[in-house]
Amino acid sequence: MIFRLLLYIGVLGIGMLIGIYNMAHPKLDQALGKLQILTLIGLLFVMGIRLGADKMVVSSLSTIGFQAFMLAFGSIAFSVLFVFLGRQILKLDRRGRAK
Amino acid sequence: MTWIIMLSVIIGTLTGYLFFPSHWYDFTGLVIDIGLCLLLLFVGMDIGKQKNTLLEIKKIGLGILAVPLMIGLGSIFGALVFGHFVGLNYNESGAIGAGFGWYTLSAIMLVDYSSEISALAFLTNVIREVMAILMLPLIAKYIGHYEAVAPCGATAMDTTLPIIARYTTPKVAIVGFVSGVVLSSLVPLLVPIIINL
Repeated sequence: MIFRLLLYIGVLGIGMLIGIYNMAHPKLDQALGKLQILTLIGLLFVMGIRLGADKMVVSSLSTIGFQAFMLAFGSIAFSVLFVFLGRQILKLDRRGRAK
Repeated sequence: MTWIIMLSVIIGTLTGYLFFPSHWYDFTGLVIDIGLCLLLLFVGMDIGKQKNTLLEIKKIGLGILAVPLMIGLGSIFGALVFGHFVGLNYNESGAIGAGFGWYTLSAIMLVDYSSEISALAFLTNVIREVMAILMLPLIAKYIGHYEAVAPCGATAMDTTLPIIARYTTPKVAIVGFVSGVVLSSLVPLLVPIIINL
């Protein structure tokens, strides 16, 4: 957990430094958006493979799938609602800027 | 773009279910780690290019913690309410909600309590992550940027961060990352506390 956290912060930090000091090749800079989409698609595909290949996920889907779906939906719905209420209290607009 | 995201996950899941040789499973973990690091690097570069972002984050200061606080409270409360409808005890649904999408850890921490609840925690938080990926673009567009971070929970620091960065602003991506780190560190504290209530 700690190693992973440090790795993510490290990689993100290196990227930010490259961005701040314009150290990337201009061509790479231009392609950044496309590269992000391609890596993202690949990542989601492999994540999907892991889910589909996971016997525990697939076999438990039919028995506890409904309960799990309800719990996940409840957590998501109320966390979105609570953040929405917090944003109203702090008077921030949809994009998170002060009104 | 939302369609591409949905299709990638769906086609991947079908491929994994129908064709994937199981001895390649460990290899996919490595591919994900490398892909994730690449993406985080690209996201970092994007954030770094927007020089005002870091100044804005400084301005928010400790107020940044309001986001994970609301996400954490909402996740647990929502699981309590919906858990009640599907016949779970409050300590069980609360602990599963406090997994915040981190399925491996929340499931491991609940194995001693009951293997059924552990499996449920695992599946709930897997579904939460998939739903977060699918719903994020829509929530960002129709409700708000900070709200789009909410479904991601703990995963906002890794797997869902690139999607947050794609559909919101660099500022919200940083807030999302911080929120993911805070929620991730709360999982190992809250899950055992709530299950023992």
